[in-house]
Amino acid sequence: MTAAEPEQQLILEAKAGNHRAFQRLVERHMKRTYNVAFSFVGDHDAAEDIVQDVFIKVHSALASFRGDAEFSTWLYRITTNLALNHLKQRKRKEERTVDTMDVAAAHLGSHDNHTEDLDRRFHIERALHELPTLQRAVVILRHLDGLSTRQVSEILKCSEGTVKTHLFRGLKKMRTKLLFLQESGA
Amino acid sequence: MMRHGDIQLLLYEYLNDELSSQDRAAVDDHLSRCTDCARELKSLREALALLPPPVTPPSEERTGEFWNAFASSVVEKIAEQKRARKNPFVELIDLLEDVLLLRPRLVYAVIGSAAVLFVALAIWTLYPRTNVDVAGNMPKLDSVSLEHKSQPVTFVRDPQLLVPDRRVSQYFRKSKMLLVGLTNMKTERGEPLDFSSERRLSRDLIREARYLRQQPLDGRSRRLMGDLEKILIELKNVEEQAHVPDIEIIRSGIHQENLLFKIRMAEAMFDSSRFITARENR
Repeated sequence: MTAAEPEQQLILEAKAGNHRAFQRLVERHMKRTYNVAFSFVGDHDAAEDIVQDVFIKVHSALASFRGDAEFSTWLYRITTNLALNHLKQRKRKEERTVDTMDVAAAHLGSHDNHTEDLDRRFHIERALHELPTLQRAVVILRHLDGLSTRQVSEILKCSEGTVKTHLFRGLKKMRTKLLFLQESGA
Repeated sequence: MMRHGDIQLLLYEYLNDELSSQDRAAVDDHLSRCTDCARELKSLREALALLPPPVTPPSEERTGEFWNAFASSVVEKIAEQKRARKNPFVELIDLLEDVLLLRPRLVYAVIGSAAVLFVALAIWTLYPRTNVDVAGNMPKLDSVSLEHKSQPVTFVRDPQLLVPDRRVSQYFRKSKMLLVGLTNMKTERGEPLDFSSERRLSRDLIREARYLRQQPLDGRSRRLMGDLEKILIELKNVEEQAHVPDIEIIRSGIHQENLLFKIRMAEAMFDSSRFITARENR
């Protein structure tokens, strides 16, 4: 198998039980899937767990994949659902403030050690997590992950108009919440 | 001509230079004339500046070794899970999790249908088709006393009796309709009358009364049914093309026994008991 092997072929072979083909599919999509998961949870360990779970789910549900949507869209839909579930569970377990602080602290090790940057990330994470679920998902997928409006609409199973509306409203709310960062120059 | 709302939904793509030249020109044109939308554009630009997409994708923060091992670790984990295949209960939970994740709408549809079915079943089960403890709940209505022609008419509800109220009430209502019809029937001497439908209804009511009298029933209703049965049997036995004298005999029986009045009283008792029960259950 080569890197240029058509995705459809890999999917068919993986459906037929070819582990190697499935591994190739994982290799092809793992980084992008990881980025999507990370955008939601902001934590490398959680993102890793989610992506592993995503591919395990994909493997067990591959037989039901009919190809109505693109494979990547289907994959990101599962990723989004698992990431949102993860956030719900985390929210239940921890106080929001502690939770967000932890998320921000998790970034510290992997990004940089500047306090200002940490502060900024902390506030952005908090503002994102305060958005309604659909708005948050749209802002993350469309703006932070750079997916197209159509892809996001297919992932979240809503119209493109809804995606645009949620993006516009979500970003406006983010601005209101984060305006003090601009004013303080943080 | 695009409206403000349409334009505002294009502003994100406008700022990211993702619009077609035609849409871009339309947005430019609108912005040059509309201060509200120009303000929205400024506000959105500020939001994007505050929330820049990551320059380095998070996946790049993981080492090459991590990614080299990742896919094979996933495949290994899947194989491990298959080996450890588990008891059917765990498999069922996994299956439910998958369905919930991949087909949430199906799950909502199933849950919704189950809820509707449950509510329907609950209503069907709880709807008072029999008057099981109505008498026990209504001590004040146990007795309805009336005076008519100096003879007291008293319906006493025995709390221990299980009365299929709705059915008894229906029986009385039908009997009343039959007797009222018979009483008001215009008769001309010498002309035979068609009694086929009355005979049929009488037969049905006799059958129904026999069933009801086998059920736990208060004494007054039971006696009234007995009185009614005599008339109904007479009516059942008249010829299909009966003559006026036959009908007059039956009419006088209805009158002598005061049947219509008694039926109305019985109906009133059943209706009021149902009303009180419904009020107390509320």
